[in-house]
Amino acid sequence: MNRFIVAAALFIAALAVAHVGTNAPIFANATQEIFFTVGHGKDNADTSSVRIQIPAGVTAVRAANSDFGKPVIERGANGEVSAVTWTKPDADLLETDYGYYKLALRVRTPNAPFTTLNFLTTQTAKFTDGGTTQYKWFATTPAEIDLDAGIEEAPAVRLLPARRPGWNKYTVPAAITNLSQWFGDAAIVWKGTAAYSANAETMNQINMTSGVSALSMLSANDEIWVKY
Amino acid sequence: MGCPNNPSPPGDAGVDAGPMTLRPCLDRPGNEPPGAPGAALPCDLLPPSFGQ
Repeated sequence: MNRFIVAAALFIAALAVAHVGTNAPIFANATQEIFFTVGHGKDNADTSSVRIQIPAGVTAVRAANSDFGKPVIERGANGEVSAVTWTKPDADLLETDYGYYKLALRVRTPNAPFTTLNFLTTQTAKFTDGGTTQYKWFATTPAEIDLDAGIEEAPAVRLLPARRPGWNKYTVPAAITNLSQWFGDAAIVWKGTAAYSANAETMNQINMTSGVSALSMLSANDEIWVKY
Repeated sequence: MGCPNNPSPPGDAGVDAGPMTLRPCLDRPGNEPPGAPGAALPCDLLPPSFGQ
């Protein structure tokens, strides 16, 4: 795929706590920007640093400056960028938690459409007396969430296949049970004579069309038509 | 694709109907114009493989 840059920011909120969000859509096998939005600090303390771990398969990582100043990278055994940390000087800390921050990486994503990348993130907040507290945005499944230990849902990026306006034909590699997570911006998705749309009016039309049923999930190796 | 969009019919004799316009095809029962209550899917939302 030719190099291109996607610069649409979308804050993703889940559960009762605003998470470290990411933008969408993000495409497989492409060079693009990924934004991480930090919607709040912790315990009324301003965010002082954010460390984002780079998942396997993500390459050509470059980090942008932010309100936290210059990024600092860590490298793995093979020289690949394994983590990026932004740290705010103490002199720039806000007296209470009212800040909103956006951190940017430009990366090349792996050629793995319909898979999810989890960017494990450590968010540190600092009190005015110098004490610190942390969120560990590490959980990749609901079972891993441990609120008492400060472990919450990791920022997740769903890799979409390349697309063109109009009809696109795909074979999904694994089952998809939540169609809205993957096809929320599609006009319609077809599997045989079953269809899905995140648009409620289109779903009404699907239900009113003779010979067509509502599509609720996909199985591995299903062939689908998607219109954008 | 399921069925093609049909050009609008020519205007009355002696009247310039202006540029040709397209309307959703109406050859499928129940395929009322989009937005009408109880409307079925318009043709442009039917996949290329539909009905084959």
